[in-house]
Amino acid sequence: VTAGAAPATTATPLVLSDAAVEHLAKARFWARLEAVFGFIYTGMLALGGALLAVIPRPPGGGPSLIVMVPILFGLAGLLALSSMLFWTYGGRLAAFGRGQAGALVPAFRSLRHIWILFAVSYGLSLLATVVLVVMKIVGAEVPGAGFPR
Amino acid sequence: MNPFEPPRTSDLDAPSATGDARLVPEQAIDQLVRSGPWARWTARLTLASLVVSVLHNVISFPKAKNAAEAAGLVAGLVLAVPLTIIFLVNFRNYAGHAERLAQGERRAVEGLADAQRAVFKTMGVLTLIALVLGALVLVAGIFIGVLAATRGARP
Repeated sequence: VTAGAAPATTATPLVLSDAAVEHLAKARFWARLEAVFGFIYTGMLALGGALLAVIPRPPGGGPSLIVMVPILFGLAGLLALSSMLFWTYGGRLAAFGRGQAGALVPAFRSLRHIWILFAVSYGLSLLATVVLVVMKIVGAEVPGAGFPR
Repeated sequence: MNPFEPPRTSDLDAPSATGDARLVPEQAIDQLVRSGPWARWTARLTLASLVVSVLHNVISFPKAKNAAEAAGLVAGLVLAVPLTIIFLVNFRNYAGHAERLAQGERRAVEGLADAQRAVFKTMGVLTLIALVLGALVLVAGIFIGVLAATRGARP
């Protein structure tokens, strides 16, 4: 069996147990809650980015602020995407709970996309951490560390 | 009930009690199997991030400019390490079940449902804790600010 595809099988249809249905109901609740918080954080990040872009820049603090604006907007976009996926996943699981067995397909598709997003986000986060560590070791200026006080 | 009565079309279309409504379509199983490698990569990258963060804090500790910075580095490790390990266990658990499903162990879907609950619940609980802590910090900041302003205004 290859990692990227389900095995071709003629096995009997799989029916979820009561416990599994209950687990999915709980996953649905938490996914939707996180989606709501995610949308709120997205708004706050976008607002922060917009404020940084428009506030007057004191001498010496300019370059660092310019670096922070696209980072904040990028994070907001990533968070908005993940929140939408969480919301879709929760919504499709809710439809499954109402008796639409077919809703599991889009729910688990969203879940797969969530995992892809997790992997990409963790990869980017690791890359950023490595870059920061290297910059610290060589004594380079860290972007965003030069905020005016 | 007449046992010789021909079946109605509604009998053919409607789901049979609980069975059909809980049936997992093959396409859904395929999606779960395809999510497995991504979950495994997420677990690997989480472990790598943990190692790099620990190394970063260990390297930075002797270079700390003051006690507050050193305390921040230690606090960061004390908080981040257990949380990352909890996430790592959840990610590996999900990936393991998805791999078993890929190998044809169809009951692994039950474990995957539990793993989904664990992943989303952990993230949700941590989000709520972060919100409460953020609110507490905000309230404490306002309180300290008001206190400082009151003392400053006193003759």
